[in-house]
Amino acid sequence: MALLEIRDLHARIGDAEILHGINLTMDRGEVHAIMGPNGSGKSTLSYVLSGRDGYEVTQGDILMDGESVLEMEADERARLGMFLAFQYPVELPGVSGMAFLRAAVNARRKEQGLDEVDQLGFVKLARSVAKNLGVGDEMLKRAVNVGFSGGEKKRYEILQMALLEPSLAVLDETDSGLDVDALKIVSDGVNAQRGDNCGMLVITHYQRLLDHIVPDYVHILAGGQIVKTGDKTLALEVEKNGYAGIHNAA
Amino acid sequence: MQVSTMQPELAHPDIDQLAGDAHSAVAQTGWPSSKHEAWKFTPLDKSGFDSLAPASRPADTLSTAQTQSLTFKDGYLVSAGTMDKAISLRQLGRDDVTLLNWLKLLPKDHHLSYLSLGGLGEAVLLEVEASENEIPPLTLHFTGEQASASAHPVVLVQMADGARLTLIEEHVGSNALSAPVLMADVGASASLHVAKYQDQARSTSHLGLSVLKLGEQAKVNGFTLSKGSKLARMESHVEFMADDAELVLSAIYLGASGQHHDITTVVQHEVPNCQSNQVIRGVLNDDAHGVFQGKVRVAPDAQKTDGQQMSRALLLSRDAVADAKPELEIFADDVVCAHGATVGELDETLLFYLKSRGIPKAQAQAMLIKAFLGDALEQIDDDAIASFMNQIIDDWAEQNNDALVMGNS
Repeated sequence: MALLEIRDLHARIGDAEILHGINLTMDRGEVHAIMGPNGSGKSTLSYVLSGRDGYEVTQGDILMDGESVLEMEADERARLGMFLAFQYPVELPGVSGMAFLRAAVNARRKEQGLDEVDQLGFVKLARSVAKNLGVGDEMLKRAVNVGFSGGEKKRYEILQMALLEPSLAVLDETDSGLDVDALKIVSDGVNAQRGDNCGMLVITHYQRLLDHIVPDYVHILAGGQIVKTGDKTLALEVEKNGYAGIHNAA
Repeated sequence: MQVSTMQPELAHPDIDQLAGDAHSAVAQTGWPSSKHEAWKFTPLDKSGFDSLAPASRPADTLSTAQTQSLTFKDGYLVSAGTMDKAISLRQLGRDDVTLLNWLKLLPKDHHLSYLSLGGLGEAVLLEVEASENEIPPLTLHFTGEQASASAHPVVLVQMADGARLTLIEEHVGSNALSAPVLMADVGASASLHVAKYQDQARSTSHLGLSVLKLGEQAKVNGFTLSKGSKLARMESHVEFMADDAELVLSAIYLGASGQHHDITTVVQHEVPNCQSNQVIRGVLNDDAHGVFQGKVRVAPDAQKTDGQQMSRALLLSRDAVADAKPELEIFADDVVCAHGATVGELDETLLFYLKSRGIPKAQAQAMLIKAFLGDALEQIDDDAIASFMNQIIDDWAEQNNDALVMGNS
């Protein structure tokens, strides 16, 4: 059974329909890239998948492991194993990073029928995972994302992903705002999560991220629809000819 | 010491005069309506207070307690614990000239002063000496059972130069109206912490007044949590009497269905080089109404004053209302003063971020409420008090989430 199946998905914000019938099927262990120009519906797709309020699905369905998630709140989807890495992670002044991470991990563990991790055990776990991603103790101690640089925020997203071990990860423009070194660290963190149990949907404007996170499939999103699907060479084609060339050819 | 309990008929003629003046002032003007500037958001004219009489002295004889605490019932001291040797306790009757001198320090032409003077039974004076040792916190427990009467406890705190004290005020019980007065004269280099917790029955009203005078290099840290009653106004008047004193006033109100919370402060910088910092946070659910009024006055001589004031209210319901009236009156030219007031709702983006991590909506909302109140909670610098207040807020957020989740989804 497919990990993710998007069937003829139409969605709108307010009166404006942004997605006009998206179809996509992804199996576990696969990495799919979604590329598209500004305004093509990339971020809308990530929010509709993750269940953000205000994004209304008017037609079609989203299935995770064969089960429709449309009626589920964002938190239910996340506990089932969906993870969204934000393009712009938000700052939560006054919310302790450790308390936040532990609440998230325990919510997921509870759903899986596992015991909650106590405070001490969690600090050990978080530190060991954080170390591999270059997230220092100082960052762990602060309020969520408060005072973090752009690169630090992205690393903190990947840290959350590593701790939550999602089955479906949606990465929304994870490369935006990263310099070359930061891009390498973040990509290494993402690649470490690749495996037979996890499927990844990598949403990006630029091909350069896909040099680091090499996709199995590349979809071109334009005007709220997938206009072309191919392998990683499609991304190079975009880099060479631009979106206009692809769109017109399609 | 002779106390008034033995001779209730005796009263100092000047105190009688003050009480009589208070009665006639209220008889003349009535309870303040919304036309009265200081009461425009919290009018009392329709509160039905006219039908109340001050509670009679309870039959209880004064008992002792193991802890360092005083218990007041219906406005009268009924239990006194063993005090640290640096603290001495005296009950002052209406015939006492010491009490008269304190009463003269009450705000003039003020309804809360009238209320206290009009219902005055007795007062308790705490005299605190400087001490080498750390004195454990002193708890003042106010309760009452006379549901159709008003309680008027008066606590006076005389802090000697260099003295240190932590006071915890707990206001519970079911007196129809509680009008407690706390007055503190904080000597040079003395340090006073006051943490107030108001959780009276929902049928009651609370009109509390604190009057604080700060000496040279004195430090006062006051924190208030208002959660109970249907109508609560907690008012503080602070006056800097000598240079280099520091004040932190923080307050949190938590309002739910049918409640009205009012935090009012008057801070008077009369002398140079003093600091005041006020941090007010309120969370309002259902149709609750929250009010913050804060006046900072900086006299012409009060150069180098640093006066800060920030109030924020968080509305969890479209029916909730928050009013803020910050006022700065600055007559000195070399000062750093700022004030601000905001009213907002829970940020949907923040809520979505937490939910996208699998954190259930109710828990996510509680985390954000807690974070919102953090700035005020951080001002408490006593771990035990902070953890007590945190627990109350956690419980409140949890209770008010059930309603929220149903209301929003």
